Amino acid sequence: MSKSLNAANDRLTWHNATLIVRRHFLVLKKTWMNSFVWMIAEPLFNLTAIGFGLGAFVARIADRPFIEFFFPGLICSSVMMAAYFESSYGTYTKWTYSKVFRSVLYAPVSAKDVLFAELMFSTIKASCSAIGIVIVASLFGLVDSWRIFLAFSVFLTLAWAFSAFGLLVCSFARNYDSFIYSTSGVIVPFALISGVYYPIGSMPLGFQILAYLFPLSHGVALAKDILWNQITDVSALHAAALLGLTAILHFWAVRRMTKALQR
Amino acid sequence: MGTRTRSPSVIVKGLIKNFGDTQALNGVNLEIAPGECIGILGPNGAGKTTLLSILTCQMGSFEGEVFVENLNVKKNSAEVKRRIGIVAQDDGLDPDLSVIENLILFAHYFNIPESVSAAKASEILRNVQLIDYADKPVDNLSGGMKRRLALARGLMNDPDILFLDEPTTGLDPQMRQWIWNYLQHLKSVGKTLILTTHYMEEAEMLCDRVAIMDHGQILDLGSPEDLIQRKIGAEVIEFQLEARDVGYYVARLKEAGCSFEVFNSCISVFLPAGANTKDVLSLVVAQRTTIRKAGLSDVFLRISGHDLGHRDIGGVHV
Repeated sequence: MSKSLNAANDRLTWHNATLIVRRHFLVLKKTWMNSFVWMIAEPLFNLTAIGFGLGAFVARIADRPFIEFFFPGLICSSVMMAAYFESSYGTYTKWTYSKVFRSVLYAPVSAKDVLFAELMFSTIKASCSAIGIVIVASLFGLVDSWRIFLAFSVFLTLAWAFSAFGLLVCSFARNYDSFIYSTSGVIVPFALISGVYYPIGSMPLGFQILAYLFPLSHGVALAKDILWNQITDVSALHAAALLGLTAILHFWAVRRMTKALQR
Repeated sequence: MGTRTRSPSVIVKGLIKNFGDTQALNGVNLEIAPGECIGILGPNGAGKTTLLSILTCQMGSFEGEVFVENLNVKKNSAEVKRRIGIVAQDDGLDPDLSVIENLILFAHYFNIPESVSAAKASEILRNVQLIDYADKPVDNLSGGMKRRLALARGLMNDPDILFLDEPTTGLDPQMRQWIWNYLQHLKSVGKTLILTTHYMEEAEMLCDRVAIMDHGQILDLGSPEDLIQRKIGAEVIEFQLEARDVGYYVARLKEAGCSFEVFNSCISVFLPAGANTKDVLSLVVAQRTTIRKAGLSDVFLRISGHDLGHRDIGGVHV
């Protein structure tokens, strides 16, 4: 007799997933101040400190003022952080500590509905962070083109990728300490070598190869190509790599977490 | 009276569930009729909660067949969940929401429109006497209030079957009594109730049938009266002895063909209805002798052994 769960029990219903997202937003409304600081204030300080503060001592980089070079990478890395933290610590809390998932799963929803709601919620939250930075940056005169709207396709994809990465880490986590490995071992170091602060080409070849294994590098490169209006064939390769890595993270995370939620 | 018979609310056939090397359920078979109240008794780790988790579609991977309301839980978990209510052992409420939000948001998943769900939530909160706490955060509630809210949530979709995992564990006597009365009411309106419990009086008071579980199996199943009569009889005589005398009296009771059990230096003799109590009393000279009516706890201890906890010795001293 088959031990595995029938596929019908595993089905995603978008309607259910959106109802769960609605629940998350209702809770977010109660704690909006935390999220606001996280989403807007931190990138604003980053922009001021690194972009204007440090940037004042840096000569032109990639033939641009440092703040212009830094801006696309800042949005991408902020989106990554927002998505990753929401779907790692946030999801893990809902899963284990506050047992929100259990309370939801008493209703006629599937594990996939719950997981897609997590991915959607983290992605939306991370995108709000991008919108916040764009609004703030436009006050500094850094946004001068409609191409920013096109760049949001990159931000959204990155947000989905790192939401999936967060879920994947959850599926391996034994406790909250487990996230130290993924944060200090993956997210932070890769943010430093993914072309946010300086061109990847200036690093030794080994580091360049390493950097391109990470979705952020492709997202940053693509966002720059779009915002600086220099789309080439290489941009298409970055797009393909970003989508491919996102797909791998997505399917791996959903598969592992579905199994974990269904025990 | 009509001759139409409704098919069982729950059918379980050859259910096996393993957690790694540990076998939590080891071939469970069970049928539960509509409108029946069934109690699943067993020590901690017997498999009660695992069985309930599978019946309520909270655990997906198992061997065997499980049907709830004629629906295979492996294939139709969403449809099964539409028809059942679940009251979990630790309440399983959403701690980030208020009391009424817990009910209204839960109703959304059943596609109950907000206008209907808000009215229904208020009505159920009135029934479980929580209406004054409707807008309070769940964390502000006492244990008994949380249990009532969990019960209220379990009823939001007007289920035919209500699953309750240890519904009165950890509650004070007043709250326990309140829950029992409410469950009696639900039973009287035709709901099928499936509950796990550690409390024998709870099972005797509420349940039409009781399943005694241990080591992942149902060891016996029947109405409380039937189980007591079959396994124990009408009365129990307990002889508290000096440890050194136990062997001697065990031999005497054996010789007389009595049914009995020894626990430490206490011998419990089980008497069928109509048996001559005096004959048994004349066999043993004890430090203390107690005669009492046989109860479900005797059945429970007899079937699943004594290494579980303390016995409740009460009754009449002779």
